[in-house]
Amino acid sequence: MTAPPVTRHPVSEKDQYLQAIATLAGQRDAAEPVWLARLRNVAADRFRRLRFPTIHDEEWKYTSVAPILRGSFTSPPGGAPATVSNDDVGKTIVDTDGPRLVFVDGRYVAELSRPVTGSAEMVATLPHGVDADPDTIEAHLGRLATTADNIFSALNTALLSDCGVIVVPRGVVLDEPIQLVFVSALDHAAIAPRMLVVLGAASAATIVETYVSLGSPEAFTNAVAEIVVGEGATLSHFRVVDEAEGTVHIGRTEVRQGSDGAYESLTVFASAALGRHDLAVHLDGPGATCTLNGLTLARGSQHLDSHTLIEHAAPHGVSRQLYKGILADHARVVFNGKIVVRPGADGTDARQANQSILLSREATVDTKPQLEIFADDVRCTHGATVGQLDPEMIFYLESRGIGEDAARTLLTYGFASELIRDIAHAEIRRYLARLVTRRVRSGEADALPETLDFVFQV
Amino acid sequence: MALLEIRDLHVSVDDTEILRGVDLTVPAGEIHAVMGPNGSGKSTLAQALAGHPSYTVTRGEVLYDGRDLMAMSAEERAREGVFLAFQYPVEIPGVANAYFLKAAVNAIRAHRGQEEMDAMEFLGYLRQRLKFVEMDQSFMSRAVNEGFSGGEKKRNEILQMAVLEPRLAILDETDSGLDIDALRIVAGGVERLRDPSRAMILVTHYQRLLNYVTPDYVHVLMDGRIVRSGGKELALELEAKGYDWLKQETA
Repeated sequence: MTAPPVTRHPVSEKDQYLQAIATLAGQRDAAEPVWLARLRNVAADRFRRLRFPTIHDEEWKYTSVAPILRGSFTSPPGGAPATVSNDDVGKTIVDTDGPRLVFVDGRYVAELSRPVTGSAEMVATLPHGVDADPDTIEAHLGRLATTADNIFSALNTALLSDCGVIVVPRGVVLDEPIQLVFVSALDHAAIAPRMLVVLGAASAATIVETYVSLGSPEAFTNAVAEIVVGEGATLSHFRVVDEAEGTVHIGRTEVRQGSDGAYESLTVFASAALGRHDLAVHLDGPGATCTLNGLTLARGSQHLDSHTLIEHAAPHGVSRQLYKGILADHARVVFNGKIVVRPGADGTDARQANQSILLSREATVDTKPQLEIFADDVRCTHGATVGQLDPEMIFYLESRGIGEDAARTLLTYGFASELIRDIAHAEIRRYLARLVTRRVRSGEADALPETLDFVFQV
Repeated sequence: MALLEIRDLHVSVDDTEILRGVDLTVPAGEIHAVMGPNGSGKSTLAQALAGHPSYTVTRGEVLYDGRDLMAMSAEERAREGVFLAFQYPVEIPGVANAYFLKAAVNAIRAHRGQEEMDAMEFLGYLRQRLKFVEMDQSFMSRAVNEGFSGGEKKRNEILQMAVLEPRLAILDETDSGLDIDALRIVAGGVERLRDPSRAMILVTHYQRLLNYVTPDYVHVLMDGRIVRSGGKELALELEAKGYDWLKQETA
């Protein structure tokens, strides 16, 4: 995206955010490091200069952010945070006793969080957290999710306060998943969730990043995540957006991989009236591999847009990508998958697939692969399919006594399950199986159990 | 009254008439073979009885236990005890065999006003039925028919029949494409399910299966009509002489 010129929209669209930025500046801790203040100030300045994108911007041609401009979101919510209990949270996320950081309306809530055990570090508030590992945080925060040409990242960074930070030192292997939970509870709140994950060389971790709502607030979530996968490190990353249906969700995930690093992600986009997720993975070191899977579940008049960028910047990188969409009613889903192979990234092996099922005639999917190859000996493939449930499969199930609604539900679940069935962590797998079951259920299929995951327990 | 009574059945696919007046009566406790050359309408008969939406009945009637079968939806027929073993079993990606069977069993039980089987109870029942077709339990956690060999798919059909315990089973060319071991296993499964309260129709092109399963009657379907019926010796005659002599005789 090229840097747009000076504001064209009325200034009022930004006023509420500018006020919030000013308020936050007034409350700053005198002890906070200079670099952090500078990071925010630069971002605030850019937010002032940049304009919100319109459908005339190539990167936003399918998705209008007008609802954000029209909505009366306040940011950040002041006063006492919404009362949220452990039970409330437990019901909406992967229910384990493992470590987690919980943020409610953008603010860290210590009582709902649990520390990581072992040698990894986990901090949640800036500037205090900065003391824990100042060099690592300074070295990475704001470096991947740059703000020069991205108004949403500029806004998020200008409001930077509570931030989930996970630092896994060299050689440390964490078996237990770490959860970062971003809860939205207040109506009309604009929240700016932020996280930074840094995996040292030859370390390994599983991160579950969840966006959920309590009640049905109409909120604006503007999330930014930065992830560094060190040399030979392995990160398994789940990103689940399961917020209230009236939410506007803008998310950005930036990943940088060192040599022989492995990054694996599953992005589940299940909610939001308007949603956009930009995932960029930069394979900077030779031999890095990434697997990007995505599952978008859209219904009603939801509009969910996933933009991915895989940048092969070093030789012998491998990328695998499978994004699936299930669309009902009037939903619209966008998949824009860009793969760039830089000069010198010889021996790159990239495969991309996008598969969608339309459950109604009124649903629309826009799928667009973009390949830019500047290296030699490169293998790069892409494919997109859009279809309906197969009537022969429906008949086969009906001929065994399974009703039409249940048959459709089972087949839809089956389509999604390819992305779920092999998840190693049983709790994460069950959580996602339940989420998908709940979302694909229709009509008579209410008789089906809470999860169709029975499958895996035989 | 016989369990199945087909009277003057005419069935079309895409406005082309395939069945042109089939009459067939199958009482409970009997096994009937329906044979015929390719294109005679055998599979159309099987699919129409199971309720495939592409097949339209234009004339005639089918009474199942005295009720109008053609007025029922496919799932209602299944719940009332009609079962079709598919000639080409469908692959259902992402849905495990065990889950699929449990959903089917419980849909049928609910229809009969019986309690649902829980997972443990069902697994015990399933293990016992797996023996009928000499199938390994590992098949149950695999997706329905996905990556199964031709023989495994056919065995899976017989397994489903064994699990669902239909009153009327129609086996559509279940013997085709099977090697001799698979044929023996499939036939063994069919024999074990022979029951005084159950009727079976074996639709087949060849006499081969009938070496293992002895039918009570053999019917020959040609050009959409049953042109001859007889005992099991009719199958041997067809095997020896082919279908051409019948074509000339009935022309």
